[in-house]
Amino acid sequence: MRLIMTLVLSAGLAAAAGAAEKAPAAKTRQAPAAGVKYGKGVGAVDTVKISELFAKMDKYEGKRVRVEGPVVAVCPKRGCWMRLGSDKQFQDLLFKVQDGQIVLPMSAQGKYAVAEGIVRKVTLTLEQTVAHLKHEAEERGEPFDEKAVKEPLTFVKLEGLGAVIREKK
Amino acid sequence: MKRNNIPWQRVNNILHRDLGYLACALTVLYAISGVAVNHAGDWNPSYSIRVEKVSVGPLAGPDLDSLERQVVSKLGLDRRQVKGRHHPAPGVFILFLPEGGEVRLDLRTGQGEWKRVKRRSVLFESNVLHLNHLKGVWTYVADIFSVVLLVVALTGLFVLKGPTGITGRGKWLAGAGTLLPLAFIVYYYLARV
Repeated sequence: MRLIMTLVLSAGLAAAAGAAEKAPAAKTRQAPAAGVKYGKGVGAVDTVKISELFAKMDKYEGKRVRVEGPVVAVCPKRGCWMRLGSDKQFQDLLFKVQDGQIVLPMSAQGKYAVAEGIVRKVTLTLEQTVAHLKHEAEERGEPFDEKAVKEPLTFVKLEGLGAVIREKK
Repeated sequence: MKRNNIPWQRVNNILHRDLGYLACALTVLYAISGVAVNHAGDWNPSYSIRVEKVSVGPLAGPDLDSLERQVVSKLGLDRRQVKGRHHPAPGVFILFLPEGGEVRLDLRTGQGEWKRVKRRSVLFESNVLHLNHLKGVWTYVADIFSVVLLVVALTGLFVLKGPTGITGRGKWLAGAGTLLPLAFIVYYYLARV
């Protein structure tokens, strides 16, 4: 019975699919944005390296950019954020949308994403840093040690507009 | 009721019956999903996530490919299941598995966690539709369904006549069904604002 219900629902899903459509390869000088589209997908804006966003936060603050990288984490609860691995080691970029605006599936983790959004520079106090890191750890179901946080965080994040996710780079 | 030769009562009942049939499956699905997501604070309504401790011994290697091979071998994983890997911080290695699963290890000790993620069958699909993960065309289908439910609710008030209809016991039950949410709204404003 469960199998039949699952099959019927899955068929209904496939028939009703709207936004999760295959995006054609973009005819730009950049790498084609083929894959499954989320939100507005990605346009023809220039691709910026994630490391450059971190290195030149003030320059990119408020600007619409396109980035790409492996998906190294996805929100397990509401699919409202993902982290893209940077070209620089030990660095990743938060791509965040409002709850429900885009819902990223957990299966996106380990895949490759091209994402577009507005760059926001975030400067936290030490207290806010602890709360921020604690919240992220809770969302991922991981332990968190408050005492390990010694310095406040300043980072950039992408206010997500759209993304295209595919299996490989 | 019959005005201008339009059998309103009959039209009302036909609408209620036929739209009720039409809306049945999706109403059941939304109800199941509704209960599930209503308790999202206590569980993950779409995924079953199980975490177990693992220990593979200290890991060392010239590169991430080597680390990946060691972890796959020591945990007896199917290589085809590996979606990717990540080195988020010095001493931390993550192997990505299907559906958001992962093995996260401390390179120095080889200890860590294996997170297995599985979609909850039926619930996952129900939530996709109920919470409109799809967007696009489904948004409009859901809007139409809402209108259908509204018509079913309103026509239901007038299906029966007499002591069991809206002028009889119906008014008390409809009134109670209206007062209950109103009471909680009043509580919300009194207790929280």
